[in-house]
Amino acid sequence: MKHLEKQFSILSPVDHEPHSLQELRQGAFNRFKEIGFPRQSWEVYRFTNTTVVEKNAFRLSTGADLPELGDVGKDSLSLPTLLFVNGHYQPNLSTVPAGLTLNTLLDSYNEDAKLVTNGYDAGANPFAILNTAMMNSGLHIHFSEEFDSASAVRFLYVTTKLSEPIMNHPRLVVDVAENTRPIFIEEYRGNGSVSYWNNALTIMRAGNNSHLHHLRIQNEAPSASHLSATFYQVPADGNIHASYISLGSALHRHDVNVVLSGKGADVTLNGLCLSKDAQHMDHNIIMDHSSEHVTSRMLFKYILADKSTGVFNGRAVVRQDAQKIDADQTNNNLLLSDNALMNSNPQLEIYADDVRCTHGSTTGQISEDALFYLRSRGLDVLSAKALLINGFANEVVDEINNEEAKDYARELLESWLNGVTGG
Amino acid sequence: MLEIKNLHVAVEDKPILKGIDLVVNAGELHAIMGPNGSGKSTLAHVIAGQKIYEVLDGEILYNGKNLLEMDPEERALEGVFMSYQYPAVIPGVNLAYFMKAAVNAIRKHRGEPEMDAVDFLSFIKEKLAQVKMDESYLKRAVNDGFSGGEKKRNEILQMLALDPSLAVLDETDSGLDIDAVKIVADGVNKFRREDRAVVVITHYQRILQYMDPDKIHVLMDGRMIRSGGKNLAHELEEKGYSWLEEAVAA
Repeated sequence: MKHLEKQFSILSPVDHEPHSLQELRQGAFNRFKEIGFPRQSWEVYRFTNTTVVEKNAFRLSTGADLPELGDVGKDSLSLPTLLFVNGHYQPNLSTVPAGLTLNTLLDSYNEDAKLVTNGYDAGANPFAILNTAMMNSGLHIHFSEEFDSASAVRFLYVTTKLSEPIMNHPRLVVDVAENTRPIFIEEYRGNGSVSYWNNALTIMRAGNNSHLHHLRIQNEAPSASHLSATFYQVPADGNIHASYISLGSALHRHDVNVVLSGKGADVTLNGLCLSKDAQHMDHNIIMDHSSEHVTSRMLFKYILADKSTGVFNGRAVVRQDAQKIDADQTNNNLLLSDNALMNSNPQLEIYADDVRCTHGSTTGQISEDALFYLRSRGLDVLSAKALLINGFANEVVDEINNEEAKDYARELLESWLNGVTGG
Repeated sequence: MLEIKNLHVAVEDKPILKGIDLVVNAGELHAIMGPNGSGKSTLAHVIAGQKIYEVLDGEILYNGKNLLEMDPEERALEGVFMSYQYPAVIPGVNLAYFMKAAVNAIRKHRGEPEMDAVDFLSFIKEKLAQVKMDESYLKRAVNDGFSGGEKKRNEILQMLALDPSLAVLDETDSGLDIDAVKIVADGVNKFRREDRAVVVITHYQRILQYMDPDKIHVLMDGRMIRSGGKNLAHELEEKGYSWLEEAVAA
């Protein structure tokens, strides 16, 4: 904690920030100190140990951490991309598509202080609170009605060429205008052996009758800790379809909070976690049905190799007056090793009486029958296993509704598979 | 083509097959009949390479090679095919993708060029038509949500597409209505050729009406108790298996 206090003191006299923003930061930091780092005695952290970010002296990224850019962030995707390197936005290497407006969080704050949280209450989530205290590369973006329907934009956060352990607390506030249909891709990528910590917070507010497709790819360096929170506010006839592909970092924790606040709101959250070695991946999701006539689906699939571990905590909450709710929650897990471990805890919390809610969870290994069937059709063991694992993952990957992004996700899956099956 | 000598097989130390001898030549169709629990499916699975069955004694030669030493995929690549009574479900993998992978694995093994997506599509469409399956099956996950009849037709589709030399059909007629039985039998008849052999394992004589078996064998309690021509099937249909049981005991 002492180390963080020092980091906060370096950050806090931010001259150009208005006094009220400094107070917001200070208040959040005080709150964080009250709550402290999570303990495994807390129910929502029972299976997740975060001491790695507590014990390591990560310092905030500064301009000095910006490396020679070269081809950093270059890849096969031709989608318009906004590039952030080691926490610093690179406007010269970014393409901002028409209909997307972009402001620093400070500018938005000066215009309207509420925009910095946009309705999000971090509650008792220590890392989201810490993000408010320390947020350093904040952006507020707005998909206006001029944004090309069903076209995609990517926010790519790259951490690379580090000489010391750094941390970043990026915050992205996303507003989606009524009747628009953007595809928003959030990707975290890293390399190198120096450890780092990303503590990301993304706050999204969908407009009435908007359709937001959110693809989130977490492909951080193996030495990284990726802690993050995502908040969706979904009003009447708003539609969110999210796909999370997570395969990077030693420690992955993603808190997702969805509020379906208006009739006709519809949310799909799909997740695919690919873990190996000693990776740990944790999703903690609250789907809050606070209006009548809303629908939601959650499908999370984990594929765990080696001695990796996974946690799925999904909670569907149905408020007292929220009748006519249709909610499904599924968590299916595939263990590729006897040493992998999955903790699955789907929960329902229902206060209304006229609702249809389902939840289910399965954890198993590759079916011997299926494997034999494929082999007896001429496929060798590795190809047969890869085919079955692909089949398991496809349900999530197939639903990505941008062909280029889908192919990209498939490539990530293929290369991950080659790494674990030795094929 | 297939030569089984004195085959003894156990499952979890329980003897199931107690000395089977069988010779099937190229061009022939043999039927193996028998009541439930006689060891018919065990025999089929041992030929396909299912490892839970323990071979205690005897051997299986396929074109002179020791089949029991080969992995399941080697057997398939060498031209052994089995149609399962209960085919496995492969969730998330569509039939086209699976079949293309299987067809190309076999082509590669034979030193033939692999098929690209366009060639494969026209190839598989022709096979689909032969078993009266429409193209929509290609996009469906393998056997996922398929009815009993659809699963069996899918097995025959695979047999036609994979072009094996030896096809073993395990209870491919069970649970099918008469139209589906005819489709399956028709698929088998189209498959038959001078250089191919078929072994049909069945409880009922019904499917054999639509085929022309060269030999019929009766398997009971792990032993082949009788072999004969087509008439044996009719006799069994009339008198039931108990007749043979008594005849053997006598």
